[in-house]
Amino acid sequence: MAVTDTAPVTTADIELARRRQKKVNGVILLGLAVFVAVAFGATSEGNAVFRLTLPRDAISIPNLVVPAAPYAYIVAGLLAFFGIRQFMRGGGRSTNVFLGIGLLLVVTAFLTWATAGKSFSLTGMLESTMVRAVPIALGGLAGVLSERVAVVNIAIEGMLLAGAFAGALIGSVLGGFVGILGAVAIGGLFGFILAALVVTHRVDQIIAGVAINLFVLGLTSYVSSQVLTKYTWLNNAPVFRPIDIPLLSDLPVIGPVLFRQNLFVYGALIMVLVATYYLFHTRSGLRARAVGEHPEAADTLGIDVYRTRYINVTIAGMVAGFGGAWFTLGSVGRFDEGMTGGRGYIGLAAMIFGRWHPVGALMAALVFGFADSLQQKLAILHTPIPSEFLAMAPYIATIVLVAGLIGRARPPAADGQPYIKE
Amino acid sequence: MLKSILGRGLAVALAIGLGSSAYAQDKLKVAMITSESGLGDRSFNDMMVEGMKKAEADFGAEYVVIQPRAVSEFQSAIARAAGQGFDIIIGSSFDMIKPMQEVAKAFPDQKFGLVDVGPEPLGPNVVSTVTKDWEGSFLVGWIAAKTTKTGKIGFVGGKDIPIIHRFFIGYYYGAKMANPDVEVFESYSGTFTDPAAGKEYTLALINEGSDINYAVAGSTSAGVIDAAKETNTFAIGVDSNQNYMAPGNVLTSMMKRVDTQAYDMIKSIADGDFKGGEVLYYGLAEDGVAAAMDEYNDGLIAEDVLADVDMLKQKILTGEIVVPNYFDLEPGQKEMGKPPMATPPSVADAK
Repeated sequence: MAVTDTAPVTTADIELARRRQKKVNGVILLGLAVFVAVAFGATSEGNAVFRLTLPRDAISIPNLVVPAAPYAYIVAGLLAFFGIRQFMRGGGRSTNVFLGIGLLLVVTAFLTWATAGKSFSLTGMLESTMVRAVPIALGGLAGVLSERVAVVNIAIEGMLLAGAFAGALIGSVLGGFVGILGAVAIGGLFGFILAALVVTHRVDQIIAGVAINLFVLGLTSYVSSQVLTKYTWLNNAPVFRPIDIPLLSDLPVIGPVLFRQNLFVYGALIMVLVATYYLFHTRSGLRARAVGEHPEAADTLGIDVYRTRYINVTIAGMVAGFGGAWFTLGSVGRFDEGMTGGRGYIGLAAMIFGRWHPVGALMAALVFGFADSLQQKLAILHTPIPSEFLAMAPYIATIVLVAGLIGRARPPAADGQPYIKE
Repeated sequence: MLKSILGRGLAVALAIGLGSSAYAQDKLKVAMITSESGLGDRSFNDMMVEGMKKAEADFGAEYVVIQPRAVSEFQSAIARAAGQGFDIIIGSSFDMIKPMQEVAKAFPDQKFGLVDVGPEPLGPNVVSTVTKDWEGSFLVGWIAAKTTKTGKIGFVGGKDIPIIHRFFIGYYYGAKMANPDVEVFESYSGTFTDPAAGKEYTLALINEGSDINYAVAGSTSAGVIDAAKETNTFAIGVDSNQNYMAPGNVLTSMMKRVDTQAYDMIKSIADGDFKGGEVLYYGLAEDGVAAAMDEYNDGLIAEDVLADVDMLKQKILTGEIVVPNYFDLEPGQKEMGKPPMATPPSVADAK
């Protein structure tokens, strides 16, 4: 990925850049402070009521009531403090932390402003954040698994779509669980094809990925418009409903968000943990990372670079296939043309933002999921912002995070380069 | 492709076969052109065939169904039918406006009909209909407000565009007239093709307390209906009868009665009062819209609410209630929550 500059830089360059960055960050934070005070503080009246109890909850807890205008001024004050601090002696490790906290505060101030005088279900929003994050997290995880062995995986979007399609089709005929298996198998197949193209035949990795995406989009759209619209029973799969985890699901807030979800949410969380363990705590994970960082060295030590790449990229495809099944078996049970809507690409952004780490990718996915569900909530709250702008929220979040916040994320050293065995 | 060849082949074969005999018996001959989705869509095309069947029973009209597979084939399909001596050629959907206009110009003696389109006249030999979807939405809004247990109902639109606002305004008006205290949530998923988004938007509304949600969002609606199934609340379908999609959880569907509209066109031919260039409006009073009732939503709506339907029909017919069409509203009225839209007159006030 051409996100970071890998050219050698001198110490002086870094020092200069750091000093400039310090000023820029300070100005950004001060600007945000003024913006929050003027746009949110001066214009809001009354209290924002955030409901924490859902209609189905067993235990009900009181609402969170925030006076809108005072809250905005407090946030503005904090931002100004951060900004001045950054200006005086910023830089270093704390910079991103302060920027991150600052942005988070702006978002809460915005929410409070939008909710002023009304109420909305905060728990419901967090619940849907979790749901919306699933395909992005799994897409990001697929990206991590293949880029850790230095194969750039643009084809995640296509793998998600293929998984969604296979899940709906196979699920309709043979039931939900077989549908998931089918989706995983199809995803794995496309992972294998990608590996064959880029590892064995050394096709440009971006081009191979785009080719797979276009192929899957064309094929699924064709079959869906020619066959599925005619034989609707082929596009009527069972849906995996939320499963309540006993006791834990009764907890306020945390219960509905984490323990009253469907199989795909639990599956995604487990996969992230397993992938983390695999990559960082097992021998084969270490080998995989070695292949991604320095394939020549790995080869010298007797690791089969090609085989490792094949296996990891195929597994990545399987993960993406499972993520794709979320769109059909985890949601409505039917396939529609192009229904993944670019979530695969956002998954790639989540991977970068998460610094090529499974847990990082999950966290980033949650940020995107939050932007997604924020947009739904704001639509209900009738903010003066046009809904088309709200619909951009996840993508704006992508740009801000990838371009602005992540700073110097380092991809695996050999990322994107084919390996030619001597 | 195969479908269109078959369709055309059938049309030609039937036309040739019928050509001689039909003229001899002076039977009414109708060609129906389906929209892209073709027969078996459990929607407009299937419903229109019902209208054809009724006309067949009532006037002995022969009908032929022609199924073009793509919008690009509409014009050639209509043109082919136009050369074969049908008494009327009936189509549906906005996509067919241009193709039909072109063919109608080339065949000035052929009569055409196009159901469920806009208010513009389409030509001296074309009759078209406008479905008053705002009146249908008014009706389901009334039913929803009378049925809700939480006092909150929702609306999930596809895109945030005027044609969808028209549904919302009708729905809102009906709900507020039935019960001024009911809270109506308005939301737009931003897409007509993403059921997953429709489901999430609906779940968000349900978390806000809404227990009946009206879906006007193309295939996104499938998600609205699935959310109702998952939470055991109600959804309201749109355009065609969608009650079957989740028996027990689809309260009703705001149905555009394209069958009535097509039937009336054939009737006008039979009665000899076909007026080319006419634009007919089909609302609640004309049976052009209806709340779908069948075995799938049996017992979901209270008897007295069902009885209201006839009362509303009467009041609309006499002009006692005028459901606002979004396109006729003043700019200030188009915004939610602003008077006079915020407090539409109750039925009692209107008297």
